[in-house]
Parts: sequence; structure tokens; C-alpha cells
Amino acid sequence: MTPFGHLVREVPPYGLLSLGDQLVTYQCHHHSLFLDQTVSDALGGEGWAVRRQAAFEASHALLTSFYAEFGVIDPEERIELAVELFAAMGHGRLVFEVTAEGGTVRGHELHYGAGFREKYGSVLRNRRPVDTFAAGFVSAAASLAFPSDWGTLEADEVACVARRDELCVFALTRRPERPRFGAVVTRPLVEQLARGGPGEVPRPSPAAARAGADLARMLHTVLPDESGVLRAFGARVCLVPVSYSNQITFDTLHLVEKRSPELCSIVGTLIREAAQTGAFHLLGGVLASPAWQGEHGPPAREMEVRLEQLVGLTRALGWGAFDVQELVPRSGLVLASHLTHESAYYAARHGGTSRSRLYFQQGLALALMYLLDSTELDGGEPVGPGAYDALFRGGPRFDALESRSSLRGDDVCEVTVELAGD
Amino acid sequence: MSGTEPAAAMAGPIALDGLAYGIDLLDAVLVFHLGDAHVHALWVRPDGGVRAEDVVTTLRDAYRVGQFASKRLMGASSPRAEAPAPLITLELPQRTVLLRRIRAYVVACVFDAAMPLGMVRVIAARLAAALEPELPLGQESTDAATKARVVLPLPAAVPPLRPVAVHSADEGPPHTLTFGSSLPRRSRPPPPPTEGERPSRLLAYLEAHAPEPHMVRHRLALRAGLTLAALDRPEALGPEAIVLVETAVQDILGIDRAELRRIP
Repeated sequence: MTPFGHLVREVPPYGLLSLGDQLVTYQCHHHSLFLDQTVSDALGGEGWAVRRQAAFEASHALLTSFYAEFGVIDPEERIELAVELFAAMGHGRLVFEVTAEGGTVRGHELHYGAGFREKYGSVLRNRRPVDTFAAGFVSAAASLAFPSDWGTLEADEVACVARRDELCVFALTRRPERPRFGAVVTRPLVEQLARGGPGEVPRPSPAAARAGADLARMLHTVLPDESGVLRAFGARVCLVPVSYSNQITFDTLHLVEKRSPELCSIVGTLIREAAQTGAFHLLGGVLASPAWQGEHGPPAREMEVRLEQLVGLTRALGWGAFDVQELVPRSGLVLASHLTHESAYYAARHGGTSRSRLYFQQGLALALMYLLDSTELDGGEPVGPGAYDALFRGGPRFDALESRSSLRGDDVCEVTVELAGD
Repeated sequence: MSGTEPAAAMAGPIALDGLAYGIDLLDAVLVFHLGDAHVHALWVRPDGGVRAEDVVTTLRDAYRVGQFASKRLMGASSPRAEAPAPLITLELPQRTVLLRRIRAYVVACVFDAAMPLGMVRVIAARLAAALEPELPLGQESTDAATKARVVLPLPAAVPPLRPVAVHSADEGPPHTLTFGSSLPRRSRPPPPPTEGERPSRLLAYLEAHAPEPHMVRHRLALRAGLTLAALDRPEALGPEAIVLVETAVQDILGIDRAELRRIP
């Protein structure tokens, strides 16, 4: 198994990461599941198609770049590399039984399905399959292994562990439609955006730089298990193409804006919540983990020091190089960045906008505030869903406001967190 | 009513609540004349949403059409041929209705759609078997419900699905909607709150059982296509919005319709 840290490269100085030539981020299952769920909440059954199309496009671009880089042409070798890459990204293990006519793919311990079973299995019964990223990935892998002018091999998940089936199974059939591709957020494209952008990115503080470097080292050497699962910091962690997570976010938002504009703010809140819960669990999990505390000791009680560490971690996770403009303990903070994966994606794919679009940054800023203000991280316990839910049963509530955005012509993307009004 | 009052037969109304006792997913039993659609006897679950006056004529017409179709299907060419007595089932997303003719009358049993079809047939057959001896033998049509003054003893052929509570003799008249009654319904569950409170109760249930309860209202609003302001006043939601809320609750919790109906 390939340690997936070996596959990623930093895009300095923006705190972004690339895999092949594609921009990627580390994401825990709390974030992945809530974001996919929000798409389904907003679009119902249509959500599956939106997510699968995004997964197909992102995976197709990712695999194409790897096949080109390694000169892989043979169908079996292409499938083999796809299987290896999928597992190395922490998404689980795939077993292909496929020809040019189609076939089936079995999925073991898939990030979404197994993550759903682990997180919600005891409280919820799910009636629909959830592994849309895997469906898009196997569709892209099979279509690239067996290319045809007659269209692509499309995957439908016919069994899913989230539905309490024994295994996740995909059926591949060839569809005559020609594939659609939008702009993909590649490393060269981001570097080009950055060159045309404003100002110099501030250097991280020594504490932030050390935290980022140490986490990057940990992730560089960590190894997914035989099933392609990476459990780290109390969560299932995987690499997700930025094109996937942002395409499902903004395609959903745009559809709701067009059809039911009165519901847009609700979609925005839920997308922000996905980032918030993901950042809370992953960042909190790092600081609370024995591996981290073995090197750094218990998390600092001083808010400023803890915040420096947390902001440093975001660089290693590919979320961006953030700069804390202001921190008022127990009251709020201001978090800025020159370029994040979502601002890069939106600029590349949709251009500028006067509307609020920095939902990931809002969620991250809120998670930081809750980790500073309301969370004990030195109790030796992993940060679990119980700790997160407890935040909202009492104590202060915070709200986030997008105060500046490069998408509407400002020099930075800036989010302000404040105590909520009631 | 009890099953030990044969002396009261022919003197009181048909007390269908004894027959309907304990059948949780039975929403109504209507016995009406096939000729003029007058209601001979009826029992309606208080929260079942069935209004006899709204449906009885339509059900009579539906049965008539079914008879006509049956006649054609059977190949009867003479208009004088005896009218057939088909068993007609209407399967709707919310309800299942079974219409069975007994002489000049039709017994309509209205069930919640969650009741399996096989059980619908079994229970409707038992109800019809219990009613059959008590319905008039001739073709006479009564023009007023006051003529339908037959008390049906609880027949041994229709065992209640739950134990029957023993009531004292001074309990008062039997509870039928034909004549009205001040008694609460005796079957379980107890009379639920009004339909207007349903969305509030669903919301409370969702907040108690769904993961990430602090985001449940947002998810419900988005799935139902309603604004948060609308959910702040759930009692003001109309019937269509309530259906949307119910569907959203089903999807969020992954439950089916029968489980949804059991939410208190």
C-alpha cells in the first residue's frame, strides 16, 4: 500500500496540496458525509446525479494525469493503478470485474458507506446508497481502461453498506452519451491565478510553521490499512479532489438559487456546517491525539498559542494559508487568506461574484472559535461527535460573516466570527 | 356496548366500534345502501381524516361502475342479468379501501396504506361476515339513518386484536358516529391531538432523534422546500405542507410510512 502522503505535493506558499496535477484536500468522514447529505437534502434524488458527475469529472482528470505521467496504456494496468490510487487516497478497496462491455465492482470499507455505517448506523436506517464518489471514480477508471466512441461506462451502486447491505457493489453499463467535462482546478491553474492575484502571502508564525510541518510529516508517513482505510486523529481521513467537493457545493447552490432562492441561505448554512464539523473533528483530533501530544505536549491553554497551532495545521491539510487578523477571546476572530481551494475553484470555474461564496472558510473560522472557546482538548479523550453536539446544548454560539472576498474584488478572503445575537 | 346484549338488537344503532376495536390501522367502516347511498351505519376513527358525507356517494358510484365493468367482463349481454357483486379494492398512497356488497348494501372498510393488503382482505372479510346477519334482508331503502337501529353484538368470529376492556353497565350508550357519543374511543392508542399539532410533534420528535439536532430545522426546511419562518409556526402549515414535512421526516430518519404514523 502506498502511503498517501508520498503522493501529495505542497503548492507553496498558499497552503494548498496537489495530487498528480489536481488540487486536493484532506477531509474527514464527518465533513464528507454532511456535505453529501446536504446535496441530497437540497436536490433529493437529483443529488446522486450531481455528485456522481462531479466525481466522474474529478476522477477522470486525476487518473488521466497519472496515466500520462507514468505512460500507462494497457487496460489491466490502468485498472490496477486506479485501484492502488483509490486505496492510497484513503477511500477504501475496489475489486474490478469489468470488460469493455461493462461489469461489476465491489467496494470494501468505502469512505462514505463505511463512514456512514460507523457514524450513523446505530441511530439511522439509510434507504439509499451513499458512495457517489466511488461510483464516479470506478466509472472514470473503467471508461479510461476501455475507451470507446460509444460513450462511457456508467456506475450505479446496487448495494451499499450504508443501507445495511453486506457489501458495496457497483454495476457498470455503457451509456451512449458523450462525457461532459468542466474546468478542473489543476496545480498550474492555481499557480497562474496566484500570479495574477494581489500581494504577498504572509509568512506563518514559528509556532504555526512548526505545527504545519509536523502534521505534514505525520501524514507523509501514515499508511492506510489493507482495506485502503486511513484512521487518524479519531476519524476516517481521505484525500478529496477539490474539484469534487466544490463542484457538488456550487452546482447545488446554483440550482437552488435558480429554483428556490428563498432556500439559498439554508443551503449555505448547511454547507458551512459541513466544513465546521469536519474542521472541528479533524483539527481537534490532531491536538487531542497521543501522537501529537507526545511531541508537543498538551494543547496550550493560552488562546493565542493554541490558535497559532491550529492555523498551522490547516496548511498541512491543504485547506489554505490562513492569517489571524484579530482574536477577541470568547467574543470573535477575523480569519483571512489570499487564496483558498474554494476561492481558487470558484474563480477558475465561475469567475467573480458579489454573493457570499466562502462557506468552507466560514466553517473553518467557526470551528477554530469553538476549539478555542468551548472545547477541552487535554483530557486524553478523542474529539468525538458527543463533544461536538455538546457545543450546541449550551454555552456561547457564534456566527460567521464573509467580510471580504477576492471573488468580489477585495485583496483577500476574510471571514469575521462573532457571538451570535441570541 | 358489550357482546352480551342481544336483547337490545333491533332497538339501538349498529355499534361498529366493537368491531373496529383494536384494529389500529383501520380508519373507517361505512355501511351504505347501494341504491340511494344513505348511510346505514358507520364508524370513523376520530383522527383518521375520513368524512363520511364527503365520500359515501362517491364510493357508491365507484361500486356501481365496478359492477358495470364486472358485468361486461363476465360477458353478460342482457341488461336484466343479475348485477354481480365484485369485491373492489382501491389502493391509494395514503389509504386502502375495500368495498364489498352484502345484499342491497355495501360495506366499505378504509385502512391506512401501511396495513398489508393481505391483512386488509382478511379483516374486511371478517367485518363483513359479522355485519351480514344484521343487515336488512330485503331491498328496502331507508331514507334516514334513524332507521338503522341495530346493535351488533361483538361476534365471536371477529376476535379483537387487543384485549377488550370490561366496561360497567352504566357506561352509557355505545359510541357510534351515527348518533354521536360523549365517550372517548376505547381502542388504543388514546385519541391523539388534532392534526394541526402534527407538524409540531414531528419537529420535536425529529429534534430528539435525528443526528446533529442543532441542524435539524435547516435540513427539514430544505427537504420540505419550506422557509425557516414557516417552520417557526408549524401549527399554521396547510395540509400540503404537512405532507411535505412528513416525507422529509421519513427521509431524514430513514423510516417508512407505518413508522411515521406511529410517531406520537
